[in-house]
Amino acid sequence: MVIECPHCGERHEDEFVYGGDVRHARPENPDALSDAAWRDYIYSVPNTKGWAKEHWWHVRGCNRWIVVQRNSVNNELRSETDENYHG
Amino acid sequence: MVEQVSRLDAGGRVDRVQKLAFKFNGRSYTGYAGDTLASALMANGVSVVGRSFKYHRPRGIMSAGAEETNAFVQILGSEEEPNVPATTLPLVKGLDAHSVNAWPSVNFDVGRVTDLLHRFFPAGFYYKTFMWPRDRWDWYGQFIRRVAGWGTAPKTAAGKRYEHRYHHCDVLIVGGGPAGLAAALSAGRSGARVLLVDNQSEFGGYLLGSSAEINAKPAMSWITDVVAELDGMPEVVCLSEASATGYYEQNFVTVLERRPDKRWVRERLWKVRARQVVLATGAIERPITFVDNDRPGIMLASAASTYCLRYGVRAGRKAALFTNNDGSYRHAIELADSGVDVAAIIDVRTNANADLCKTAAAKGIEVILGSHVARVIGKRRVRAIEIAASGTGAQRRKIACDLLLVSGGWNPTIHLHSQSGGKPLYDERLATFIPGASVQKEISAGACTGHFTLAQCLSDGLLAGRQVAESCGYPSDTIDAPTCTDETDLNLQPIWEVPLPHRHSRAFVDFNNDVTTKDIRLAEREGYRSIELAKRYTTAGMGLDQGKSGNVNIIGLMADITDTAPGAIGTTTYRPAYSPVSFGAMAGADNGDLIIPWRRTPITDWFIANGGHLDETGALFRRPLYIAKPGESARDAINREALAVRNGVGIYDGTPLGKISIKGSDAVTFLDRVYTNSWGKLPVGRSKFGFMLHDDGRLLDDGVTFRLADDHYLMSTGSGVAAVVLKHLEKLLHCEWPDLDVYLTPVSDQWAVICVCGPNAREVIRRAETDIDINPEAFKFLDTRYCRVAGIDARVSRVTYTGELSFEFVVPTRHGLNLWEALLEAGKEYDITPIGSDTSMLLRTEKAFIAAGLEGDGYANIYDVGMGWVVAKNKGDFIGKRSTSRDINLGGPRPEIVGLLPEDSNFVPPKGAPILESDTADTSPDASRNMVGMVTIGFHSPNLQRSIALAQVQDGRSRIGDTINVYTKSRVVSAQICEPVFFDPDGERMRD
Repeated sequence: MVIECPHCGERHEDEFVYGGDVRHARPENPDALSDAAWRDYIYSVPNTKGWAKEHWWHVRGCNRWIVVQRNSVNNELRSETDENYHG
Repeated sequence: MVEQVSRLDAGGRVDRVQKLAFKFNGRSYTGYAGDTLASALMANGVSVVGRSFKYHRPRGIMSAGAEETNAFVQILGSEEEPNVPATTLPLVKGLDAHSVNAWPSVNFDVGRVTDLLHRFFPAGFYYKTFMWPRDRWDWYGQFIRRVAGWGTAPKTAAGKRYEHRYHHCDVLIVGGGPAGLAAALSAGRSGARVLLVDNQSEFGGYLLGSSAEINAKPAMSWITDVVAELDGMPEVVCLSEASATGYYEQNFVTVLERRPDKRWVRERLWKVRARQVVLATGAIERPITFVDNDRPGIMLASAASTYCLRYGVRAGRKAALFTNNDGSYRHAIELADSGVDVAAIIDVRTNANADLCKTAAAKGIEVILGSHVARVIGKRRVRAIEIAASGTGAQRRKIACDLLLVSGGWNPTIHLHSQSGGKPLYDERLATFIPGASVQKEISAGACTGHFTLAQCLSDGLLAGRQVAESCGYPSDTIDAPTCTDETDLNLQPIWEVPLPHRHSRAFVDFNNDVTTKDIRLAEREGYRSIELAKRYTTAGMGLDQGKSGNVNIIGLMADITDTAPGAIGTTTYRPAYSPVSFGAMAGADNGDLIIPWRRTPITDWFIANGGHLDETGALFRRPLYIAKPGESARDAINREALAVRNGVGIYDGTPLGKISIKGSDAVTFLDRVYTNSWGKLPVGRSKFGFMLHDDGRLLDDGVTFRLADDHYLMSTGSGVAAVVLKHLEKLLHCEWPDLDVYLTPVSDQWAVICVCGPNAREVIRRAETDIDINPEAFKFLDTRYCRVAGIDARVSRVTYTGELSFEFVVPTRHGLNLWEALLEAGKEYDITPIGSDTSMLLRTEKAFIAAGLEGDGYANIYDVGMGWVVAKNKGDFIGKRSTSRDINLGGPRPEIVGLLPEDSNFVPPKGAPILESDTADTSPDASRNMVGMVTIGFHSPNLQRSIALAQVQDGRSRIGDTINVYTKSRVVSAQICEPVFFDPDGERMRD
C-alpha cells in the first residue's frame, strides 16, 4: 500500500506501523467503570468489514501517528489526517 | 545423425547461422538462436517430452507459450531450476535439461503402471485410501511423495544474481502484441511515462508466428517500426522476457524479468506502481475434451502455426484439425502453405464459413463438417484418428495423421484483471469469460476482452493508450488504425465433452494434473458442485500451468453435468502468480548474510575473537550466551562465569538494552501514567525500578529509569521489547494524551552499556581510575553520575541484573570497545570474567528477577509474578490499573510465580515443562490436561550447587513447602515449592 502521510506525502506502507482501529477515547476515570464496561472497552474491538478509521504510525518518516480511513475489503485508502481524534 | 529433421528449409525468425548445441534427457541436439527448447526439440523430431503427473502417460508439446501444460523440464547444471516450461525457455548454448516426473526415462517409465490401473485412482483417492489406520498417513506419505511430484528442488543456493527494482510510471501496458504495442504507441506519443512489458523474447505477440498483414505488408514490419519508435521515446521503457505476475491493490503490479544472458542479473523482480494500467494480455486457445486428447502429436492449432511460421519447424508430417470455430481454419491453411500435408478439417459444426471451406478445399484439405474425433490411434505419437459423424457415433472413418491440431475456441487471459478485483463475465457468443467492470485504474484491450480480430486489437489498443494517457494529464491526437488482413469472427459452437466411445475411455480436462471428465463427474456426484470445491477435490486447475488452457473447459463441463449455464458456475478465483516466480526472485538481494541485518554492539567482534558463543537473542541481536575457553563445555563456561560474578568480578555487555530518552515538563505525569509506581519524588541523579503494563493488565516491560536532569529522564527497556515499548508510549502520547509536554527519543543504538559486577567491582573501577567518589556512602545503590573512567566520559549507575555490587557504564557507542578493553585490563588482577547472556539469565534466576516475557504470559498480572510491591497504592489511574483490579474482582486461582527445588538436585527442569499435583498418577502425554502450572526457567546453579527453577503454579504463593511433580518426556521428578528468591533474599550484596 501507499499511504499519504499528511506531512510527508505518499509513502510506502513499510514506513508505517499499524496501530489498530480508532476507538473511543480511553475513559477519563476507569475506576468508575464496571468490570463489564471495562472489559468491553479493552476487548471489544470493532473489526469492521469495509471502511474503518485506523491509527498508523509513520515511524520511519515524521514519527507522527495519523488517522487513515481504509477499506478493509480492498485496502482502498482515503482521508489521511493528523487529527488524533477518537471515533 | 540427421540434424533437425523437422526444420523447414526456410522461414521463421530463428538465426540459422547461430547453431546452438544442447542436451535433453542426456542426448545431444542442435537448435538455432531464437529457438525455445520446445521448438528445438520439435525440430529434432522429439515428440515425447515428459510424463504426466499421476498416470505417467507420455506427453508431447501442447502449446507455444506460458499456457504449456505438458512440457516441463528441469534445467541442470549450475543454474539448476525445476519445472520450467520448455515452450518459454529460450535455447542457449550448452543448455542441459531433462524431463520432470519420469523414471527411469521418458520412454520407459515404471510409473506407467498407474495408468493401467487408472480405475483404482479416481479423484480423491488419497483421502479415501490413506485415511486408515489414521496414524499411518506419514508412512503412506513417503511412498506417495516418491511417485507424485514434479521436478526436484536444487541442492545448491541459487546464487546472488537476483534483484528487485521499484518503478513508477503513468501507464503500465501488459502485453506486447498488436493491442499492447498500439496502446504503447498512442500513450508514448502523448509524452506519458510508459512501461511496456511482454513475456516473450520479442515483441509482436501472436503476430510473431502469423501470416497476417498490416498496411499490406507482413505484420512484423509494422511491429518493427512501432518498437523502433518506442525505443526512441525517452519516457518509454520496453521490457521483453518480462511477465506481469501479480496485480495487487493500488495499481501495484509485479513483473518478473528474466535475463539468462546477463552475467550480473539472472532475474529481476520489478515492483511497479502505475497510475493507469492497460491489460493487453491476449488470449489462450483452449483444447477440446475428447478421448485420449493428451497423446503426443495433439497440439493447439495456433501453436502449430507458431512453430511453423516463427520457428520454421514442422510440428508433424501429416496434420488434421479438429475444431469448433472459423478462426482455426487459418492455422490449417497456414500449415498447408508452409508445406505440411493437411489431410482434413474435422469440424463439429455444420455451419462453417463457406469461404473458408472453399479456401481450405483449394489447398487440398478435406473439410468434414458435423463430425468429431472418436478415437486416437498411437500411444507415444498419434498415428491416426477415427472420426464419427456427430449424433450417430457408429459411422467411423480412419484418417492417418501424426499431428492433430485442436481448437475449442479462445479464452481471454483475464487473470490480471481478475486479480485486480474485477469480476469476469460469461460471454455466450464466445463461450468464455471476459473482463467485467474495472475496479482499479485499469482497462483491458484487444484479445483479452474477447476481440479476436487483428483490426479490433489495433483499434482497441490505440484508443486505450490515448485514454489512459489523457487521464494522467497527457492529451494527444487520435492515431488512425492501420489497415490489416480481413479476419472472420470465431462463430464457435461450444463443445465441453466429445462423446466417449467406451465407459473406460478417458478425456483429460487438466493434462498437468491428470484430471479427466470422469473425475469431474465423480466430484459432482459426491457433492462437490461448487467449482471451487470441485477444483480442490479433483485438483483440476491446480497444476504448474494453473489451468491456463483447461479451466474454462472444466467450468463448461460442470455446467453440462449440472444442467446450468457456465456463467452461473462462474470461475475459480484467479490468484497471483500468473506464471511461476522463483524463490530467488522473491528473495532478491536478501540472500546469505543479507537475509537478516544482524545488529552489532561495539563488543561483538571482541566476542567472536575470544570464544563467545553467539546466538540469536531477540531484536536482531546475536549475543554471546557464554564466552568459552578453549575446550570448555557450555555448562562449564556458564558455571565458571556465574561463580566469578558471585565471588570475584564479571563484566557484561549490556548494549542491546533498550533506551528511550524522555524530555518535557510533563515527564513525571507521563511516567506516573505508564508505570505502576510513583515518580514525583525521584531526585536528579537517582534511578528507580518501574513496571509497565498493557492496558489489559498484562506485563509489558520492566526496567530502571534514571532522572538525568529536571526535565530529562532515560528509560531502560528490555532488549527484545524496546520497539514495542516505544510504540506503546508514542501511541499514548499522540493519541490519548496529546496535551502532555513530553518528547520521546529512542537512543538504544547511541549508547554502549558495560556493566562490571561482583564483590570486587569497586576495586576494578578504582584501578581503572575514575574522577568520582565511588565509596558506598558517596555513591549509593540506584545512584547515577557523570564521570570519567579510564579517560573516557561516561555515566555510571549503581544498577544490577545479577544481584551483585554493580557499576553500569554508559558511553557513546564508538567508545564502547575502548572502555571494555580498559576495564578488562584494570580487572586483570581480579581475574575479571566476561559473561554471556545465559550466565546473566542464570544469575537473575537465582535472584528471581522477573523477565516479563518468561514469567509473564497472556494471563499473569503484576501480582502473580510477585511484583505487587511496585504498584503505588495512593496514586491516580495508570495504564493497566483497571484491568488488574478487574482480575482481583473476578477472583479464582492465579498463576503465581514460585521457586522450585527438584528432589533430584541434578535435574534441571526445562522451560515450559508442565507441573502436576504429586498425587496425579497419570503419566501419559495426556496428563498435561491436569497441569497446575509450568516451569518458566530452570538452571543448574553453581552457587547453590543444585538445580533451581522458577515456575507458575496455581495459587502457588499459598503453597510454599508443598511437593509437586515436574513432567518431561523422559521422566517425572518431584520438586518442592519454595520462595522464589534463592540467593541473598534481602538484597544486601547489590546495595553494598
